[in-house]
Amino acid sequence: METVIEVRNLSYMYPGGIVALKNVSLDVYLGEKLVILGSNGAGKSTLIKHFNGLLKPQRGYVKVFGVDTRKASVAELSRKVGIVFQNPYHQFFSEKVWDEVAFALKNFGYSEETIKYRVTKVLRLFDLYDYADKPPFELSSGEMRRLAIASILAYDPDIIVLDEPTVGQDRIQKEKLKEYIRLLSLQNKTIILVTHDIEFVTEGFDRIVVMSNGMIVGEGSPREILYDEELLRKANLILPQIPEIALKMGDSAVFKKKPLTEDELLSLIVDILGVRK
Amino acid sequence: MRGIMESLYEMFIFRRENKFLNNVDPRMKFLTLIILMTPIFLTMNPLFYMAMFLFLLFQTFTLANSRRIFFSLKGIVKLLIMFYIVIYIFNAYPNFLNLEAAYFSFISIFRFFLLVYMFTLFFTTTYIDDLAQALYKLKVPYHVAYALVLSVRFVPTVARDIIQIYDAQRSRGLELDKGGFFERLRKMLPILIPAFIISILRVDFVAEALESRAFGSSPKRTFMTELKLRKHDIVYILLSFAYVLTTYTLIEGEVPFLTWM
Repeated sequence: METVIEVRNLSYMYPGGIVALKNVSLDVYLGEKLVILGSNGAGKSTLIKHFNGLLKPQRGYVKVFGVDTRKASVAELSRKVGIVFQNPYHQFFSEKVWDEVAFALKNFGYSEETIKYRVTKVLRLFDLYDYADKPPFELSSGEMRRLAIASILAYDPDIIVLDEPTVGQDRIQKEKLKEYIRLLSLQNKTIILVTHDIEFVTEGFDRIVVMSNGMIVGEGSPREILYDEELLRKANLILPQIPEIALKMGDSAVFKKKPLTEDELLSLIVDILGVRK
Repeated sequence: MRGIMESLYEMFIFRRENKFLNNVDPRMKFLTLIILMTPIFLTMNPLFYMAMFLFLLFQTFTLANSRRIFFSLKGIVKLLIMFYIVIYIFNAYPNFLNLEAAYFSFISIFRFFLLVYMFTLFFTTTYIDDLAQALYKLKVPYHVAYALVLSVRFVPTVARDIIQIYDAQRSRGLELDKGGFFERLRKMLPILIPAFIISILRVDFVAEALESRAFGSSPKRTFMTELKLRKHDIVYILLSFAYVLTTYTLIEGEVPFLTWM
């Protein structure tokens, strides 16, 4: 598997003396859907700010497609790594939704024709085309979040980092978000999702990295990680509902199948009860 | 820009620290600040400025969290260098190889730096609620004191917002260090507009939060911890006063404050 981001022995301390990252090493592979899971203050956001050079390593190094982030500008790296930040209010400034999406494309020097084509495409994809002339601040919070993602996707980065995209979103919005992530994955994009929302990552992701106190404390498939109660407790997280119910059932079949979704749990219950032949 | 905002954040963020200066009564600290500030305006002698600088350095190392103070100053020093260049250009015009202009520009910046240093020392070591109480005890109406304190309280919050906005816009390819002067100014808009919008929205939140907790319903107010003058507050102000008096008299050959009157 091709490595797209290589993090080695990365350490970072904020000016106030707070150590945000301690000796972090991580590989992100092409086309994977990776989750960086951790409670608030675990160092997740600091880590992803190293991916496009917003923060430069104080110790260790970060390479994006083989390029050391210390030797490249944020603009150069951002063409490859698009970060969608948590709060859409921190980026909107244009009078129209259209201009907001076109902003990055203009910065990267695309032609008018390309800008028009790409903005139209991405606004349609995110059901925002009808709002193209509306001010971004008049959108609903779900639409704002979609616009934030759209404004990054417009310039087609290979790696898309979503920082806490589920904060303040209802379940319908979360399901839609999951659908967009699946769509992006079909286009062979590498997705990195940073979250503390453990319920959101039970389905649709390839790998989970758990962070706590600036360190990576665990790494594995969702099925391994989301059933590791001790690891999650260490990271100040609690089990998602389905694994918790499954574990409470106390049946040996649980450990074999480790259900993560409602359907998987239901099928396990049916098997245990012997209803299904 | 990130550096300056990080410095502002460090300068105004509240962290209770167990250092001497942090425990000095804010009223006495403010009075000391005035005592230290006044003679700076009475002279342009670099020797006296140096003496004041050494005094501030001494306080930083022995009485406060020096790491935090130096970091707060770091971002400001970059700004001062820019100011120096501007002042030099004005002073030296039209002869740009001008030693005298360089010297006077330096003195002006040194004076400004000392003032910034003093205020940094004050704000990094003063708990903002104590400041509100100090103003209240000086008979400033509490809602006025609180408004003043709120404006200081929100400096780190706005600084953090600007850092986030700066990061978000740079992630979308905004390059502030490219282009001519006016081009760069124009590029500040994507940072300033969200910062203003967020701040305006926040005003509403704060107003609602204050009202819902019955702010201002009673003109009389009590505090969890009452400020009290203690011996070390008096010692601090007296020693500072003695230092300023001695150094000024020795360097300038006249007694400050007295001649001033």
